[in-house]
Amino acid sequence: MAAWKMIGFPGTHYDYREWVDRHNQPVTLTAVSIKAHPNR
Amino acid sequence: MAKKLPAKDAVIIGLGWTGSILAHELCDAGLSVTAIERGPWRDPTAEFTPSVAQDELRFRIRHDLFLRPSQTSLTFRNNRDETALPVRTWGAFMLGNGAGGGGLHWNAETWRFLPSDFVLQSHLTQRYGAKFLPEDMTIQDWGITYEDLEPHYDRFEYLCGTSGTAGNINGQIHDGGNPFEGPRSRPYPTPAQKQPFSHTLFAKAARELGYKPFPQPSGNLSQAYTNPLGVTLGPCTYCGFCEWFACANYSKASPQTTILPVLVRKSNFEARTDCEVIRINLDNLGKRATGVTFVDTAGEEWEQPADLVLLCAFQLFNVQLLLLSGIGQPYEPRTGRGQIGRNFTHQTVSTAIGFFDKAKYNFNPFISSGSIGMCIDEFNGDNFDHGPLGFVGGGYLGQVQTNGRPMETTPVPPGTPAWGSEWKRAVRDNYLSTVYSGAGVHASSYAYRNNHLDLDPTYKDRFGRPLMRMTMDFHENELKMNAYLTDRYAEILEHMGAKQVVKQPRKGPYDITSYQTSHLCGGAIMGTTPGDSALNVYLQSWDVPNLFVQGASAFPQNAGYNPTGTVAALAYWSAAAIRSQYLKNPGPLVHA
Repeated sequence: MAAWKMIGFPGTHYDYREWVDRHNQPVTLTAVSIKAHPNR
Repeated sequence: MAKKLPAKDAVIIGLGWTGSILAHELCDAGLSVTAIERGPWRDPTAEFTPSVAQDELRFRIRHDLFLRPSQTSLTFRNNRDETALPVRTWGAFMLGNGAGGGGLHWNAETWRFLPSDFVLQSHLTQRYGAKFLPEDMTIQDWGITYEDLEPHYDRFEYLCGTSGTAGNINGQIHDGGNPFEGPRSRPYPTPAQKQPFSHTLFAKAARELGYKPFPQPSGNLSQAYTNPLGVTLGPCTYCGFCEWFACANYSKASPQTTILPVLVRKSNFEARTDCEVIRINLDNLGKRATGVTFVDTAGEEWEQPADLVLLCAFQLFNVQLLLLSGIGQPYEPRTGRGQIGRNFTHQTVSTAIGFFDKAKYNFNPFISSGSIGMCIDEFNGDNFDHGPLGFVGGGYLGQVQTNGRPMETTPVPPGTPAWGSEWKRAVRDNYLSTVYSGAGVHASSYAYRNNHLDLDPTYKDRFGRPLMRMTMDFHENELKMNAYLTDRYAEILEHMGAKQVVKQPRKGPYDITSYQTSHLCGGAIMGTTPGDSALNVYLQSWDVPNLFVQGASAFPQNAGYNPTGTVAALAYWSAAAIRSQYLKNPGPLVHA
């Protein structure tokens, strides 16, 4: 996920409903991927 | 020798949107219905959970949900002077595979066409004169009006729970909606989705320039909704993995999330998946369909007899199956004779990229949905005066960026090296602060004499049947129209505050390798006489009255909107005619 962190892509988060209205603010979620998904 | 199955009242070829709509309507009318689907059964909740679904490599790059070209493909050429060659990797459009069809993996952009779109030929001739249209343009009126279709648009939107803001309710214009839309009888079933930052900023800029922006009508729902069949959908979570993916969240309208849960529980419904229909069978006179022949995964041939045949495959395969079954006359562009394969159209899309100052703008492009976006319709259809401009047609403009998926979202300013540390730096510096819509301009594709489909003379599928041959190129009208729209779109990005806007208008020749929506239309068009159409206004074949051919193959030309809303509305319109007229008195519904 090095490239993701570099560009600012927080990964495969599933629910951004609490973020969609926060315009022009950085998303402070920890980056996740499907590889590291808790359900795997 | 094909093994014969017990007869059914109706056989449906393909279980996508129209197949599911027609199957449900006919089962509801008491018919025994069997649907035969080439691809696999698809269950989004079981197969596409969040722990596996958000896989860009698998679904976007490796096309996991799509038809494999090795199973069947098509050949392509720009014009008749060339030899068509087989397509070995999908490019210009994507072909679905399995239950749900395109409805499983689509964006869910749910538009209606304009009233003028349905009477295009007479409308444009009346306003601008016949000489204003290119000599080889073959646009036609549909034979129905927007008013005919309105109740059926409404029905589909309420089936899906479409999220939007109405612009015209029974003639009254409502602020915040599309002021150009045809009158609708009531508001959308759920409110519009929330819009992220760049989409909101686009709308603000558009408003300041005097336009009337509105949210794109979305089949990714803004809130939970239970449809008239009793199926409940959930709210979209703006995950940004929509188009070409399936949604386990139950928040993308699809046959799976709106109809199939009810349909599969009906005792008079049967579906056979992984079965490919290879032919519609006709009686000795060739005027009545007796059913279909299909092949299963073991390579065995089966015959499914039925009194009524619904051809509900994708546009391309509808036309191919008609030709392979000897239904109707193949179109010959030299003579202009024949209806099957005529008036093939696609979509004329383009975009502009807006680079913004990363110190001031953070767009978080990964927060999005398939149908997110703020759009303007001032340049669609005949909503504007084309007289001084020298072209016809148009489309909607919008910031409709659906995602920030990292493999695909690497916009960099012109002059940036194509690889290496400079490229990486530019990707990093621009990822969060670029407006990068796949199709910021989504415009019409009008019909021409030369753009058509027929059977390839050389290449065959694994059954030995000729592949579909596509002959398609852009014409000056579409390129001129698109360039004009792209300029207008770029102006809005500039007014938004972009430090650099890079225009990417559509250029000819038509490029089979470059994705430009999957909105293939025509080839088995509807109309008022057999002399200029394959189907009557109820989508009934003029040649074989117990065959109805659904889908965008019926469009005489494509308008400046995503076609699915109109495809579904036509399916409901056709189903209503079948239920109220055809079943009571089988035979031609229109006497030419």
